[in-house]
Amino acid sequence: MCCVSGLRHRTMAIGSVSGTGQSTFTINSKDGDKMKEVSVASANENATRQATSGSQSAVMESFSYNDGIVRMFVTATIIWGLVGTLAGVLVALLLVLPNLFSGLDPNISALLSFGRLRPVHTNAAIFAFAGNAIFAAIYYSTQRLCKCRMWSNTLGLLHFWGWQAIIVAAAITLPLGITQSKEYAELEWPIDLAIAVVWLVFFGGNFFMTLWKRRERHMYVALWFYIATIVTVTVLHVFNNLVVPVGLGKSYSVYAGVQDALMQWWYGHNAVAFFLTTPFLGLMYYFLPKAAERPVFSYKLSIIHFWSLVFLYIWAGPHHLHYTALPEWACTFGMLFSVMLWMPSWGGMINGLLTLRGAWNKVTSDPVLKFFVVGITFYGMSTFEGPLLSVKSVNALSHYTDWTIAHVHSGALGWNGFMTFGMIYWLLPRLYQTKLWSKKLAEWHFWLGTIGILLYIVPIYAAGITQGLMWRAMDDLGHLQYPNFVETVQSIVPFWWARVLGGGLYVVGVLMLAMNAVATWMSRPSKYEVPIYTAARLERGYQDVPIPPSKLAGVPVLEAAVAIDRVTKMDWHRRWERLPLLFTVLTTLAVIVASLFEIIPTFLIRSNVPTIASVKPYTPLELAGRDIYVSEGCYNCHSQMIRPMIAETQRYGEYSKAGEFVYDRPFQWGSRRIGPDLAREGGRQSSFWHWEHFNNPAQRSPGSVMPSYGHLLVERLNFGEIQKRIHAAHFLGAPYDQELTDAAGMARTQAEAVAAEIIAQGGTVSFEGKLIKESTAIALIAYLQRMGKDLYRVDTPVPAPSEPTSDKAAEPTSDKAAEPASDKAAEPASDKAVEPAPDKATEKSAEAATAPVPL
Amino acid sequence: MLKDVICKLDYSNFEEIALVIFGLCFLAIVWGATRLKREATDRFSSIPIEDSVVDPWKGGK
Repeated sequence: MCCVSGLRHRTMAIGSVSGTGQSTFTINSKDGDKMKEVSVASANENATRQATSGSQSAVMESFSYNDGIVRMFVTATIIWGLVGTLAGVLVALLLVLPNLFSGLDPNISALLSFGRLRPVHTNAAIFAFAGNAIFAAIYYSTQRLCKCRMWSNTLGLLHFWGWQAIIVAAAITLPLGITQSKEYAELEWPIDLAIAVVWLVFFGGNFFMTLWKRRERHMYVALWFYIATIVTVTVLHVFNNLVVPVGLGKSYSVYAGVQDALMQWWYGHNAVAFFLTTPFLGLMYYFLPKAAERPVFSYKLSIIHFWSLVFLYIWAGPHHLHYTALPEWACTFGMLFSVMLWMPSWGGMINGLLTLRGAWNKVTSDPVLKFFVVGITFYGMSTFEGPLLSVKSVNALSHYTDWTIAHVHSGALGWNGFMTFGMIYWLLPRLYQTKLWSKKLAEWHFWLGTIGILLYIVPIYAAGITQGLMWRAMDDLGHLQYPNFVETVQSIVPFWWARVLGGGLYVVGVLMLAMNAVATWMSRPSKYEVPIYTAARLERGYQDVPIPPSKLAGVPVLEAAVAIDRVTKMDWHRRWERLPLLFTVLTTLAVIVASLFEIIPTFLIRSNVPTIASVKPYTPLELAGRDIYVSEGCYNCHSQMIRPMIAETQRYGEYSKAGEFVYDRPFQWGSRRIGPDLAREGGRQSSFWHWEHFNNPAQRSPGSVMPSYGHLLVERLNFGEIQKRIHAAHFLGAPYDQELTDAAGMARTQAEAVAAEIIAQGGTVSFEGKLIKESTAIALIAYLQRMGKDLYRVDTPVPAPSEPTSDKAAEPTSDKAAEPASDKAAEPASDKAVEPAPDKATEKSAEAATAPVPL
Repeated sequence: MLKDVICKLDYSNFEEIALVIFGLCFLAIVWGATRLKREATDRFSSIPIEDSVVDPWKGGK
């Protein structure tokens, strides 16, 4: 298939489909090595001619396909594939060599930390590599399936360049720490707006107008998957990214805590579903039959596959939040529907593999089919594993471990990667109208890639299970067997090295693809031939075949029985498949109804987020510190969610409550523990310990793989910035008072108190010639020392006015109402910890049993 | 008002309600799919490998 003879140039003259549904076809096809008719596509697009077919007349139109845009997306796919996988190898290296960039200037090494680069890798792999691949697939196949050119060349170009600009903007802003810190939705609001325009207006508009103008009445199954992709990604993107901007590079989510978590994983899981699954299934349903030259195995199965996936996927998001503070009923939802997802997913896999029936002999010699077979097999494997991981008891072991990482990569490298490579190898000779430069190199790519994936995922599965078992291991006395978290990290470092090797092999494979593509492109003809096709325009007044009369008509039965009999003869789905608008509406309904079932109760039912009276908003300095935590991407390694399990509560403290997160915008529960959970970090270590730990983590915590955050010790905190962030938080529901007018002053006062404590514990007044009280690290330490302490806050009486307060001493809290927050006895905070500055606004509301829930 | 309505709902049964909704839709789709005639599904499944336009009604229902 990888040669020029595989190109089929064909001219068609197609008869009309009459208004009554009766049709006649006259197909004149001309196969040949070269088309005589070569012209610029746009010059022919509007050329129409009148033709006759039998006794009926139809408007015949000439058209050509826009393959230029497909070439551009294929090229971008290869380039970003290299970038994304190289970034993956780099972040994998940073885990085994955390000091890789320690010799660089701290400001440079800050840009290259794991926390900042991991989102670059994930975004490059998902939105740049897979994104461009699905656009290439959709632009190529939609034109063929609709028998018409894409509706607008201009929209296509705007889509292409707009998407590349978004990727470049992501590659610049994420290392700079400009992030929302929501996984796979890290990009800040200006870029999110650009994504909405490019995706919906440029891409969606072009796609739906092409559907509208199509010349093929019947919409093939691949098009259904594309429709679901465009509609659902739009809904997910818009609702998950609703924010209040604070500046160009900073915003606060309109959702907080539990609600933010639900929205994020509703988005996160369905980004996998509708960005990495449905468009690739569309790709499979088009390119696999093409490559195998076999029709899809079962059209009926594809109908069931499509609707089951669309119905089920959207419910499954909460399985990412098992045993968290998310309400139990929502988690059960997620688990139930995730387990059911297994059925349609395997239906799709079986449909794909059985499409090769009678063509398995080709698989041995065709690298395209090899990639497809292994890709579909990985789809089956990861869609079996997904439901397995969603079962609560399995999830209790796997969550936060590398098991999830292995699962994700078997899907991304195996399913998305190999389906993309198969498609590209099939497309290259057709797009460049020449032979593939080296079939042997493609074979080498296949084998290196396959070995690379196995070498990646097998050790990481082992690492994940090892982590999970070590975290929960208890000795005979009921104590943790591995109380030192670093010990559990060090035990999996050898597996991480194996991953670097596997990832490296995969990158070499992508390099081979790039070489093959460049060499194929270099042997292209001087001018591409543009075949011209003719087909009849679809008639506007087309009507379906009338519903056949009921066999029960005239029989003495109830009218209802006759009506039901007629309804059963209507062939509903076949009718829908020719009505793109109705099909889109039904798909949207399926997605939205399922979403609302989960989202509305979580947002509107108060009891889902029980509030805790002692939980107060962050002080200005703590809020600034939290923003630094977000910016540095700490959530990539640290969770803030203690699950209600003995091993977790022994290791980290009291399990997390929903009411503790009502001021957390965005939530920072994380999904992975390369470092320990930080939900109750406040007061665990002295402020000086944190200061030293930022400077040299391994010195304070031998064996730690955390890189140095030395730049935080010398960077100046912008106190003036804090005021508008306080205003934004207040706008979203945080009950601030004095902070609204004097945020900077209050932040400075607290910073001096934290700095005084560090000095008292052995620190110095200045570090590298700069006062430590003005460093960003001080704000981050203030935040860390606050984390998880509100649950145990015991409000103490206001000190007498005559008592002097020392500049260096920590200020006591001053809330009048001393209410233990939890049903457990309130515990005093560590004596080493600094209590936050007085919060007058919260004093007023402290007497209330429940604080208002910011929605 | 929507908030009042939602607050009065007993969401503890939502899993079951969701399951029933899905079950009904699933059965409807399966039933509809199985009623398609072999001739029609053969033609539709061949669309990607055919360059000609497929008539959805050709070959019987």
